[in-house]
Amino acid sequence: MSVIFVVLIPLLMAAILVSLWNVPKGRKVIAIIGSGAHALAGAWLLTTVIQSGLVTKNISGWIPPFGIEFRADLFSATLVALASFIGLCVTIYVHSNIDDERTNFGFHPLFFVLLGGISGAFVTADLFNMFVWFECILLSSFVLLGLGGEKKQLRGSLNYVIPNLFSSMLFLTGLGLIYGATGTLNMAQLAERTAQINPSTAALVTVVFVIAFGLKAALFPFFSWLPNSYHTPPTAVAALFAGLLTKVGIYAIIRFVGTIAPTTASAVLPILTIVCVLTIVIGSIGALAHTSLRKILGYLLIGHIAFMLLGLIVPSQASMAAAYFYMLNHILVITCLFFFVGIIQWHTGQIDIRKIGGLQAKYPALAIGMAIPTLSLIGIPPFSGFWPKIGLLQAATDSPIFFASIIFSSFLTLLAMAKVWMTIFWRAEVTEAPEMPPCPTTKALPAYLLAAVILLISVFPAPIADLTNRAAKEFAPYFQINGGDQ
Amino acid sequence: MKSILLQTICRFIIPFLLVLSVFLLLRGHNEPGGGFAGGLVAASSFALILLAFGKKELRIAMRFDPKSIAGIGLVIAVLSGIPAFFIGEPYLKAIWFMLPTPLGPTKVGTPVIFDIGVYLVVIGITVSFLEDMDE
Repeated sequence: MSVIFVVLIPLLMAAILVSLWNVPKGRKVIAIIGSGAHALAGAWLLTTVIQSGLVTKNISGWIPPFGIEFRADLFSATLVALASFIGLCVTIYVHSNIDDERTNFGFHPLFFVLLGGISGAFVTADLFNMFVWFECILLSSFVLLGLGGEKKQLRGSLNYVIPNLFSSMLFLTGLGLIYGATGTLNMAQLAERTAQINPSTAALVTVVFVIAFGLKAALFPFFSWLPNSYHTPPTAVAALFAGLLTKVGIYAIIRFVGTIAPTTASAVLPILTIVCVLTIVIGSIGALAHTSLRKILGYLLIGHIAFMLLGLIVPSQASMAAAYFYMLNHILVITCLFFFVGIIQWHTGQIDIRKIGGLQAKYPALAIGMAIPTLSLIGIPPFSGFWPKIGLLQAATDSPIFFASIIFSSFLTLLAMAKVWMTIFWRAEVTEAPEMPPCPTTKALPAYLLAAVILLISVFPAPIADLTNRAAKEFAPYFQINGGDQ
Repeated sequence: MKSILLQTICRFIIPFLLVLSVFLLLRGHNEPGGGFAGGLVAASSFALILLAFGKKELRIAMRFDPKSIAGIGLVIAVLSGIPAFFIGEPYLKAIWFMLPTPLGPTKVGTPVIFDIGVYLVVIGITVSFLEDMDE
């Protein structure tokens, strides 16, 4: 039941909020209540899966392959729970961030369609249904990017939608190919049948899907749409996108290669390794070249996203667990950083680091709060980013080039964030900032809450490490087939 | 651009169109028709009002904001899957039962509720598109 509620609640909320289109009062409060319910459903799903393992449900009672199956294992349930928690934080953050013009043009319904799409993509066990959720995500996020109608927003949303439509087209092509070859679209059945079909067909299908998902995940060479579109929308939207959207692409790659087509992984792994390394290197270098806070974070996001595929590239439970831990931590950290950037923008009216200075003297609490996700992003011990990174490094000893790129990226991340920190916090104030009212509580609360969660994980990483270990065990067949240690 | 001919015909034709749309909606499960087709027919009658009388009269005729109608339709469609929970079946599982009506026992079930939701969504969305294009 819980596996249905995580998708049902956001969709119902979207429907309710559409019917309140002309009733501006109370919309934001209803949205927060709905997000809270969604977060509870996510937590419920996660505890059910932790206690009793796999949860499956056939929608409307049709058995696969005729009907759609929802399936939550630990790998997807944790992501859903985290996504719904991030959703709650963003809804609270939005309370003071989104102006009336945007709420009047349907910000909240779109937001819930996006959340429903993300949850649906995580729990569906039907490849075509996953396409449908991807379309939900794409359409709602396209409009969210464009809402407000500023010139640069339109450019940003076009930058976003064209590559993503291309990716949808590839996804659909791949669906046709795989359905023609196997006669099913249910993931469990596909996993049995992909081993039996013609290996070159299987390899072709895998390549098509990996390119389609790689585009969504902003892997090299399809990354340039991300920093060009994520810097334009309101920070709350950017935080949600940065935290969750690319991870859906990564999830789909891991799900496809790791669960559906483990036998053909050997055909794509050499290319995937090079792609990942280039993504890491180019993303990290890109972060150094920019001065807009959001673009820096956008490039760092690209630089880090490829780490999460290490579990496929080095097929072992330890590497998958570390990569998964990294992914969960990264969702929290990058969302938190975007929240803080929003607060900085509130105080100074700027996101260009050349025009910001002296924040530490003026806002010491902000400096302390933002230090936590920053240090965690770089991976300084004992902050939460350090624990998965040490695991990644241990696992990557089998792949020297990956090992080197992790080290390289960590140094460049350090350099980029140090540059940001020294300019905006430590140097003297550059221009007289306009006098702004103090930051509203609803804006500060989610940022500091996430920082506190990150701090908590830093001090007690063991439960999360346990969880990720158990989640990684679900890919045991993949490790066996591809000669890992499991 | 308001034509007296169109206005007069509208007054005759719209009741029939609306009845036809409900007929299409209700026969839809096993025969051609259903929420989508019925909704389009109903929306076309509102489109006629828009053409013949203008936006102000359309709002009076519809009584509600078309976007809210679409939203309420969505809510109904989403909720139509909920009754299945009470008999321990998964979401959206169809529940059918016979309802005694003056015309004899009729088969009704949760898919009819879903179709009514679709009907409202189609009306709401189509009319709100047309209204926006009318400007």
